[in-house]
Amino acid sequence: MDGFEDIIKEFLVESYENLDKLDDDLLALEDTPDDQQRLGSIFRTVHTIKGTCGFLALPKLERVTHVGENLLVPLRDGELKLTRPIADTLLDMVDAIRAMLRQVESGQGEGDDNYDALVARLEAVRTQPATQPATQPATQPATQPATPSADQLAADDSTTPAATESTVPTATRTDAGTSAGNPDTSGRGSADEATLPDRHDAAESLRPVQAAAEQAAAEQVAAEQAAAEQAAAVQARSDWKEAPAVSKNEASLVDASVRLDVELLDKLVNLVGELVLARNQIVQFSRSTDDAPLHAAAQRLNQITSELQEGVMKTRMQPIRNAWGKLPRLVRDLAASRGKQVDVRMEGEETEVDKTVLEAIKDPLTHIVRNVVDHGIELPERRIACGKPPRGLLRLNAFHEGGQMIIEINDDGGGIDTNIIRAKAIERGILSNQQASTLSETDLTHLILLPGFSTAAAVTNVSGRGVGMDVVKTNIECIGGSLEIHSTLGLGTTLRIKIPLTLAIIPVLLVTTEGDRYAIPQVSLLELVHIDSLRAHQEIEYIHDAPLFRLREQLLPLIYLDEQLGLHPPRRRGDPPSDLNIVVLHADGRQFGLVVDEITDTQEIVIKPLGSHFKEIPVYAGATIMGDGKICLILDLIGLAQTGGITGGQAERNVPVTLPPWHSQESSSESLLIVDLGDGSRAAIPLSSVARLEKFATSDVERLGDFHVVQYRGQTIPLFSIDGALECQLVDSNSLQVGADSPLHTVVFRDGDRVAGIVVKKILDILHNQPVHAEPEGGRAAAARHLVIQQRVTRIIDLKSFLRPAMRRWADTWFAA
Amino acid sequence: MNTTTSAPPESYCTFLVDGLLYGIEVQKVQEVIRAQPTTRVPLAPRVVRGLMNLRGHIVSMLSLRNALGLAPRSSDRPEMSVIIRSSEGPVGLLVDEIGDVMRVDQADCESVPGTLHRRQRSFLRCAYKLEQRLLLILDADRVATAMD
Repeated sequence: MDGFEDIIKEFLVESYENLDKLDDDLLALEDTPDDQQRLGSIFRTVHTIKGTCGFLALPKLERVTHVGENLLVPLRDGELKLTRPIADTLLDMVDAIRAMLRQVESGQGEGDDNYDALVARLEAVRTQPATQPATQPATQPATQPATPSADQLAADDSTTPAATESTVPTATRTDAGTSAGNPDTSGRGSADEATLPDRHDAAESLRPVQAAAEQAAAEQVAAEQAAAEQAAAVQARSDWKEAPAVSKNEASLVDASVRLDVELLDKLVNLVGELVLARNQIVQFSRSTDDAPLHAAAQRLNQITSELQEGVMKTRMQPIRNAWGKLPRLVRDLAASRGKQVDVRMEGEETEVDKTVLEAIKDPLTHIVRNVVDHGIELPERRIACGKPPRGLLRLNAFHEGGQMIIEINDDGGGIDTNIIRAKAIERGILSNQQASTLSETDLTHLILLPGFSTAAAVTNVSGRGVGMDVVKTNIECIGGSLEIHSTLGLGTTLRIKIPLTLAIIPVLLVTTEGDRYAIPQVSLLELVHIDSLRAHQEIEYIHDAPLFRLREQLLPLIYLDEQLGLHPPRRRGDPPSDLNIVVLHADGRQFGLVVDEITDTQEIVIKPLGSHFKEIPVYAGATIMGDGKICLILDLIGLAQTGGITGGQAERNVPVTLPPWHSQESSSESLLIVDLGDGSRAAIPLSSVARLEKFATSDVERLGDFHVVQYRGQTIPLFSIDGALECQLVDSNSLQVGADSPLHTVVFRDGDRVAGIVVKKILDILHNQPVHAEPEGGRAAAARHLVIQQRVTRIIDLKSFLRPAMRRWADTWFAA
Repeated sequence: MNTTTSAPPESYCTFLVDGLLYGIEVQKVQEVIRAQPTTRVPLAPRVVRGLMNLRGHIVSMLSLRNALGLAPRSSDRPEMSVIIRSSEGPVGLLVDEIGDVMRVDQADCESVPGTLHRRQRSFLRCAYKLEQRLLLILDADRVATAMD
């Protein structure tokens, strides 16, 4: 039953905290009775306590909280106004809960106290007319019903000493026992005896031991003994002052675990990081001298720092198992009480997550699982009728993906009926008829996350009040996570919780490319492959310019990290092969190979977020500070797979923009390609209309009727040039004043299947995030805009409209049927 | 002409960029240090020089010249970095040279003329007429989030 005790312990610690908060909330509420947020918070607290005690077989507690909740519903919904008597009653309820919890803690179940009077009062204040004048002397109704609760408290008092009495003798016994062997403390036992008369009996029975202790103590010098006695007396007095024996037990339980501020932990981790750096420097320094004591000290510092680092890191990481360990039990009991049969299957229990994150998702997980069992999974008869096995299946799966922790809760139950949600939403006035009919299924499903939204026909003591899912959402969003619901009517529901790993420590693989280090999260890592240039020649295959590697009969698309980072021009089919280090990864359900210069090391790191300047760059998940104090960027593999064309996004993977190596290749509508037109003027072309930058040799240019054309990727494309007057012309290599050898810089434009090349004198630059004004309407739109870029007047050319007439002519001439 | 109504802070940490004297209110400046080696961030906007480890914090280092659209530096004297507290956390600005902390008289405050290029004007709050020259006051938050 160890696990069960753990649950109770946790429940108690949590509830004590919640109750303290409840006190504060209620008092604050007296001043501002309309504070919806506070009412909501009070409601959730009571709801949580009630929910948990339902599974811990604490029927009395459950009853009191249930009635309390009943009272809170009209308060939250504004049907009832919080008056003094109501507040008093609620506070009494809090006291009663606390008293019961204390009894639970002392191992006596809920105790024998009777809370009928309190329950009756809770019912009474709820049903009394809300119009009751506030001016009525509040003391009368308050004090009169309060009497039974005072009795109750008296009853509590009578039981608690009994509880402690059973523990006290043991304590004294060990005390005396040790004092026998250790004369220094011998005075203490007798002092206890003297100053705590109510423990007299217990101590009496220990006389023999005590006597032995005294005998041992007699051998001590008299002065010493006197001093010890004096100290003991002081000790005893302070004991007395701290006293109430009742709280001792509670204190020990609460003291056993300390909740820490995330901020403090973050600070500690940072400080330890700094310490590691300082340690490294000192160790380095000590090596360069022959000072033996310094060596020894450095060595010791080294050890301690390592241990400290490990310890601090560990304080924050826990397997997800700790959060959902109690769920199977919960499911079992709840299912049994509902006449349902549910199996629980859990995967990825060892997935580690930051303690604070873990804490934050515990409650949401409990709520979700309860909802699934209560509403999701159908009764066995119904399941059989639907052709499903009678036992429902609840699957929990946790894993890391793309720097996030994902928890999936999947059931094979009835799913969410969006029709009911729609009807309910209209009935509650959340949606108008028209809105409801235009909302997508997914959007409708997400309505269940609204506060107070419930589709349950009956409010049970488990769920149906519409609190659960809004707590879930609030808690998850509090830690920067998100919640998705996918449901198929009749087949089941999947909830997907994404939690960022910004606080988590993850193992990474360090790679080097173009002289810089980058970290790849190991969760995405499948294997490492090295192939030398000879093998590369045979084993790297190409589809056009896209390299592929045949890994055990599976075609693995390759992307080069340096190309993705804009540090290297794209490689082509004909390029001489070189040694390749391939990191085989999976992201977003796809596998691909990332080619890097060097694979260095593995390490555990703490992710730190990047600033606002890097938000637009999808390939980084964050950065970290390495042992040598340098910063290392962490790659976001999902982002990398997308920009690399492995998954989603660009359909035209094979036409990455070829840019000068120092530029990025992300294309946004505001990014401009700056070109020299050849007659001294500059133009800017929105990068979004540029498919690729190419260089053609003058000898590649052929004539086709009036047009100059080149063979490009199995297609014949016309070349145009832009002159100063912004007329689109047929290209004339002489007018560009290029030598026979120098290549033609060509901007390849693609619109659907229309492809054309625009020959320019020179590609000058690419500028990102340029403020481009809205396009003026009208025919000559292509020429109408200009900007001052780098102190030069630069025209913006919209290739699409610019090329329209020329392309039409090209198509008419050569493709007219 | 235009004396700003809400009393601006009087002390400014000043520095030189491309021969012009700029200032940021002292309260916004966390520290001034010699420029340190940074880690480059490929694909980042060009205004970002790289990332620096400032006692365990990762700080983006921005080239103020680049942000203000000024010409690249020709001198090879080491740059200085002014670490400012922005709404985004600490951000480093690379400047040519550090000046004094100056106390200025609010009466000398002028708004920035409209003839300035929009890019530069958006970063400037106002200008103070000093005896010899002008002190241009930068908007720390805008500079900290400057893009190309």
